[in-house]
Amino acid sequence: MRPTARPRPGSGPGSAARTRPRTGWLTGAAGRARRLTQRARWLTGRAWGRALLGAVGAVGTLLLAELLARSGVFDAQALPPASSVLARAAEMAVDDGFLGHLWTTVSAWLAGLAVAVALAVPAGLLLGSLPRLDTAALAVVELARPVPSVALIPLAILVFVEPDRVERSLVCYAALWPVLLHTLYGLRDVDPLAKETLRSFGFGPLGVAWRVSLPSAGPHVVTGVRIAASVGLIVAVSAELRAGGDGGLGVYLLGTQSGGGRPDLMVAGACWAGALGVAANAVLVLAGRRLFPRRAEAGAGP
Amino acid sequence: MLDIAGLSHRYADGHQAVEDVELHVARGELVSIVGPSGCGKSTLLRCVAGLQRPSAGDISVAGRAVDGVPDDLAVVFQDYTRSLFPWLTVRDNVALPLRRRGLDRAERRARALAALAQVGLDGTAGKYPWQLSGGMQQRVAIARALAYRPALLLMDEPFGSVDAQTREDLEDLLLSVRGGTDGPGTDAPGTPAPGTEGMTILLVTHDIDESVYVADRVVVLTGAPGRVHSELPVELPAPRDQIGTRALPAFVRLRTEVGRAVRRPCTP
Repeated sequence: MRPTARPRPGSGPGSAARTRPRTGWLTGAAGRARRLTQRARWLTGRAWGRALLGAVGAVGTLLLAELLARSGVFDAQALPPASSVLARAAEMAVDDGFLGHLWTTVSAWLAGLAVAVALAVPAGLLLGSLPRLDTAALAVVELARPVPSVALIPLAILVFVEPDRVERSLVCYAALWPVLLHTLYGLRDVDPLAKETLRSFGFGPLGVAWRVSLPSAGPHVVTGVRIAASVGLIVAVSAELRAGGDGGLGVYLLGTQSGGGRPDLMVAGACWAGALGVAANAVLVLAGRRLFPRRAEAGAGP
Repeated sequence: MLDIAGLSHRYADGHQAVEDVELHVARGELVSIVGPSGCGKSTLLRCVAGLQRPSAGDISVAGRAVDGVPDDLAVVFQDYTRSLFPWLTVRDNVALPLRRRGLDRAERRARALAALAQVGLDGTAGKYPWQLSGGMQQRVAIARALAYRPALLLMDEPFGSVDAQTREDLEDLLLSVRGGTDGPGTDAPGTPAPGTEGMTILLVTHDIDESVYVADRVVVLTGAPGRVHSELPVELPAPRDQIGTRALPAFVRLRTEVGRAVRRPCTP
């Protein structure tokens, strides 16, 4: 629970102490400290206050990076100043060549992700609704999941040859497991009483699966897709770095290595890859909240 | 309406929940089943609802043997937080089962809103169940059952998870939808809500006063394994109310009788 209640002046047990004359620096210091913590809480207790603190942190970090780069402690080639990275990143946002690379990565990433979700959710629903099969399926998933997808890049190149197909199939493979795993966990979590409620109204197994199990497991599925999206992005860029091809963020980054290298472009390109991940996560969090509104506080009883 | 003969159920772990239960409920009757906890009340209800296959015995609803969930049946469970769907609004929770009634979207919504008004929950249709108080959530569950207009309504300790005041309100609500009293949310007291005429209700409770107050007949089960100990007709004047009815000598006599039967030692 968030501490929202603040002591109001003139009320509560603190008011008596307030009216008493101060007797020394110690009590004065205690009062100052208390006021400071109250002010901090006043800031963190509000959405704009938290946003402000976050912005202060981000700007501070950028300033620190800028200072470190300009101070000469690091080689200017190795660590380009934050200001020039941001300037390059802004230029890239209107550069058709870079946007083409970006779009290649995004389209392969989304395609792989979409196929993975389209396969994993029905598979999870099927495996999860058959008794005992979900335990067997979970065991398989737990075994297959720790294999890093990037370790399969050479195999994928051997099998699929074309860089585009290599990338899509690897993203799909990597995204499959988190979605399947979270769908299975979500289905295990479905309240039996919720299912019985709908059964008692005469709904059959399919109706119960569609109307209760799936929406009930929904938040878990969304979490699985969020994890799959971040893993998928890593795999997409890795595949491009290794398998090459006509376009993609990885291909662009490889290009910045040539002729002595352009670290500012490399870091700026990496920033855009990060921005993709942040955007995908934000979209999925919002979609999850929209699709499956839940109580803000669990266990808020009557 | 409901005929139970020789019903026994033994769980897989060997626990004998109910044994040789015989019960007949006429159409339109409200029968409450009362007994100590663990006497198989809920098992009995689940068998009637077709959610559980009994080890032995016959159950028939409206002359048809129960094999799976019978048509025209609704269940109100004690645990409304688990029984209502948190991803649906109040209106959609009430409207969802009506898909089985072959109604189109507009009809389902209209009937859901009417049922919500009937239980005194106008203006909550767009909210989510978890935004309401416990008592209101159980009203939603009752509205969902009423909107379905079942021939047989099963209630498994429906008022067990709400505070005493809300409990009394919900008891009166139950009486009001059957046309017995002037309850909240009814425009015309004394007449049953549309579609609920002749609705048969089986209510499981562990509350002795409640079993007498709402019912036409009280069936007392004895514990472990559950058997029918006695059946007591409740002949209390029709518009019942919490203060007056509970003060009647007939009520006091009945609750004493039921109380004695319930408190009888479990093992013979």
